Amino acid sequence: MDINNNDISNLFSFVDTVIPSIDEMPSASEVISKEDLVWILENNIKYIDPIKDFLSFVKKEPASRVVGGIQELNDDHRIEILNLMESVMPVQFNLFIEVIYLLYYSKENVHEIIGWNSDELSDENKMKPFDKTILEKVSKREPFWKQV
Amino acid sequence: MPKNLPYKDIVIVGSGASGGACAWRLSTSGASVVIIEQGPWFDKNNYPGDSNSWEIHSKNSFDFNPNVRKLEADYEILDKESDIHPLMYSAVGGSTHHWTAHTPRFHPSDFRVKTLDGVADDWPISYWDLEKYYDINDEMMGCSGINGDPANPPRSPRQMPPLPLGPDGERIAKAADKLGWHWWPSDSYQASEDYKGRVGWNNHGTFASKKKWQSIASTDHTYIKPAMKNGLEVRENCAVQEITVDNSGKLRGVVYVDNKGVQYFQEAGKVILACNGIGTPRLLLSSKSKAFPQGLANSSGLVGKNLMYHPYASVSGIFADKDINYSLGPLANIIIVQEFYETDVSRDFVRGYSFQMNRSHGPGHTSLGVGAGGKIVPWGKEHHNEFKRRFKKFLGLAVISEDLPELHNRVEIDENLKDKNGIPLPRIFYKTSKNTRNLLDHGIRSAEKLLKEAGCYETHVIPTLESAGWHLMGTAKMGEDPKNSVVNKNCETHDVENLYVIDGSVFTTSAAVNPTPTIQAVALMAADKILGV
Repeated sequence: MDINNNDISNLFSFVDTVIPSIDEMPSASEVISKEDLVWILENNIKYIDPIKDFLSFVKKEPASRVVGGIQELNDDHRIEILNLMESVMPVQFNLFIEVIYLLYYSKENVHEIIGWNSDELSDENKMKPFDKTILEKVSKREPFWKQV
Repeated sequence: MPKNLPYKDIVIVGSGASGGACAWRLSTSGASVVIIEQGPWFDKNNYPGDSNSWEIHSKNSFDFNPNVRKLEADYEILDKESDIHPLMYSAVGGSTHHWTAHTPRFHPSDFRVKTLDGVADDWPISYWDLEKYYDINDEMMGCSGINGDPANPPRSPRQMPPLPLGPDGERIAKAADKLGWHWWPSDSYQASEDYKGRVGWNNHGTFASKKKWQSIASTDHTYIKPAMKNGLEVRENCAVQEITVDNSGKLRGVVYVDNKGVQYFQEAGKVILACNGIGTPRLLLSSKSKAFPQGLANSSGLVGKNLMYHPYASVSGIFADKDINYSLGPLANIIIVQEFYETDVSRDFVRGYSFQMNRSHGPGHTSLGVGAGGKIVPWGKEHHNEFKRRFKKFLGLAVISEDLPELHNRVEIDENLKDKNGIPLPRIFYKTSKNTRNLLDHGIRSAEKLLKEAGCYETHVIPTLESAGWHLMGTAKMGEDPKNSVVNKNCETHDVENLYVIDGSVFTTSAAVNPTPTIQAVALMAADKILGV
């Protein structure tokens, strides 16, 4: 896919800036891995070019070159770079965010904390059958479709 | 040179909503019928529901948009000049594998808009001509719903009870009652109970579950497999490149290519196109010959013209309740509101719209802005708080507008850009009209009123949903006059005997509801006309 291990590490170094740990919520790097990033990029072609653009953008930033490489950036620098990219390359930036968000919210431990239960047979997901008493008012209305 | 295949009485190109229905009806006659389908058979066990990564798939390999999916069977659609992106799915069963199965009928007035409102044209058929075919289709697809809707003519008993409204649906219903507005439980081809071998919803599960997808009718199961028992043949992964005629313009058959690149000529007595409102004009315009230099069946110049979608506006409301899970239940086949369906001369638009209620999405989609006007949950320190505020806390109303036919909204083919099978790509030109804009704006204001009455504390609006081109209509218009239409009231082209179009392309006007039951009713009617019934 034309993105190497170092690129993935560079990319991964930003994920906690995107989703930090707050209260009971884990940060992105606590639930997603570099392998997850490789998987989503290998299997979903639409992300490749935007991610390459993201990486090129980051590499060109003076802070990335001066401080000792992308992976050594501090959080303030990362926030600065993300803010800049969001304003100048919004399409690519949003797809970068999409990758992180979709991976993060695909994880079971995140589902447990936020209360997303996809087990279709659990009692929590059982609905009451349709009750026609709800139709009491509207069903008394005279038919109003146009006769033609 | 293509390999010649033995003669068939009837070739149907496409196996989706219309192709499946028509094939079943024709298969009962003893005629030799073959469907040629560009996509593969689809295994219902392969729906992405129930996997934790289903939201990743639904934004990629199971996206509605073929330009995003880029599957083997998809062709690119050149849509940069269209306000709305066309959506479709290629498989045996077509887009009925990837829909909400919201299945309202057109109103009788929808067939008479010229007479009633002085716009567009009347259809050459009426609601009453289609009524019995709607009923047959409901029986075959299996309709969950309930009779008595005052906004529509009485209809045959629904096969199954309505899908559950849920406490959120009841909120909308009660709010509509308070405003004195119409609402009704949606008719749906999602089975609320087990139905003819299909696993029912049975009031269980989130909308993302595999069971949900399996409970939704798709024509491979409802029509095509029963038709195969009558002798129907299905050729999957085969793309039709051209419909051929002889020098006198008489129909001969179709040329198609399989996924190994082998080309065939299938001679046929009749050819029926069921490739949707983009695929059908694409094929007709690509089938040029000495007899038909402008493309087949195009003496009117209307093949590809009058493209209609249903432009949608989306209005979502965020609610504060902690006791209601707004993500539980069917996604968008819950409640329909038709208070503003007909023309009101006091408004600044003609015709009208419906509301289609929809629910909260999964966590990934919520984070990406679904339900909040497309505004992505902010990244960084604010992320978790804002996510919590939205997650499972919004419901929406889609404003589905009637789209009037306009010549400049159209499908063309680009002779210089072809797919892997050498078929020119379709290029779409579409601009939302002033009438539609005014109509959608009215719908947005009404939707905000209803959501506020239901108790939401914040609304978000998307004035026109770009990725909402589910309904593709009008590009091979039905009419009496060959100068002003492509097919007659039997769906046979005016120009070429024995060539038929049965998908949404033939729609004279679009109405303001999801079109699938009407597409299928027209296809069943056309089959009866072909059989002389």
